[in-house]
Amino acid sequence: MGTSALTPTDAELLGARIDPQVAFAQVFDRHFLTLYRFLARRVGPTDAEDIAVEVFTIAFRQRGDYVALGTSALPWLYGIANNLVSRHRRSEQRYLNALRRVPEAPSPATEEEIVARTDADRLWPVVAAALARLSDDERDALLLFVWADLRYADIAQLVGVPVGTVRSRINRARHRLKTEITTWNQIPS
Amino acid sequence: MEPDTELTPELRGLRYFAQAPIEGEIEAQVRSREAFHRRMGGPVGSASMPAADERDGSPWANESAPVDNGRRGRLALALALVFLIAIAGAAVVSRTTSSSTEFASDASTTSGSAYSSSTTGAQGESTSVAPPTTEETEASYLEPEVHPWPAGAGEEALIGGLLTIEPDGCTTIGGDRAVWPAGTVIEGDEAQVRLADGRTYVAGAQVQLSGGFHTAAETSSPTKCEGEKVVFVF
Repeated sequence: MGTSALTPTDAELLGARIDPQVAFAQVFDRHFLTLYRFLARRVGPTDAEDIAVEVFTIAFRQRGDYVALGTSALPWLYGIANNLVSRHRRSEQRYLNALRRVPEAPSPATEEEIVARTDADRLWPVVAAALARLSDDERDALLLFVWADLRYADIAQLVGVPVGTVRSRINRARHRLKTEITTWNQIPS
Repeated sequence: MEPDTELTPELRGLRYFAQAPIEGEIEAQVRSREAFHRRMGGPVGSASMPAADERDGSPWANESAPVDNGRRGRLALALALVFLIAIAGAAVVSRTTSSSTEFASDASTTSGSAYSSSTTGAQGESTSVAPPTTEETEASYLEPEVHPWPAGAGEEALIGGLLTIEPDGCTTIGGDRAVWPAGTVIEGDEAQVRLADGRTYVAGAQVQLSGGFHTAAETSSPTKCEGEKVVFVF
């Protein structure tokens, strides 16, 4: 994201004193789809829509408190979204448990993507089930890391725990996923 | 990416799917934009929404909201303030002439605190920064677990942490069960807690309040809310 006058940063838009709602509309446009996808994969599309609206409503009301973690407000929005997901745990569990079918994804182009897609196709049902069995804290940390692509330090700040705790939670989650996949691989087909 | 965390096969798969679009996401964006507009679109908010002719190419482009620039916006703002003051006056009269309902109580405190803002932290403690929308003022309110004392009448320990609000009215602060001053309500579809003195705290925010730490055994009234550690908010 640039910092020129033509493309104001999120921080500039959130700090706008003139026409704040017009400025905020640009933040909404920039980040809605990314945030919605994150939420939809966690709680399903219907709840994701409600939560996304809630996220932006809270963000608008609290824009005066925004402290930039970088050039983008997305980590901040993820933090709000993650907190709101805590009110939809049952939907999250239900949705993840129902995800036996491999979700649609773009056709792989690079060799790396082909490997990822192959892993995903093969492992998705067991990974989805394992995700549902993680503790809420572990799942939050893992998905903020893998899906939201946040750094440990950012996750720690958003969740309100030390970085070491985030690292522990993600490592535990990875270990559990790996164990479940290993077990699954050993089951004769 | 953290240097000590490589993407293992299971995480690679997870990451890969995170990039995929969701079916119907564009429609969801349009609906969400409209829902957001409605929430922000009380007497003041709607006047401040972007104008369609100013936002070509944006999902806001088809908004039917009034233009927010120049005199029209300021005029609408003034009218909205007059409207809010009238609502507040009506609520005060209502409280003094009959037994007050939660709605009247809320309306009076809301109008008093609309635009006053005191917030901290990235998603921090929050009081109102926007006036209530029509939708909010017409909404029904849920009463959280309350103790019998009014705000400011008791303990003064620092209580802080993430505020959560469950659909059944149970609330937590920093993971501990929260008990609020008499007159506190939950409003906005479990979006925020409003105290009788007008302070509001948004679900999902990091809040800091004064109060005291207790155990479940020290709370006198039976409750559906769970949690051995209890914080009393004042």
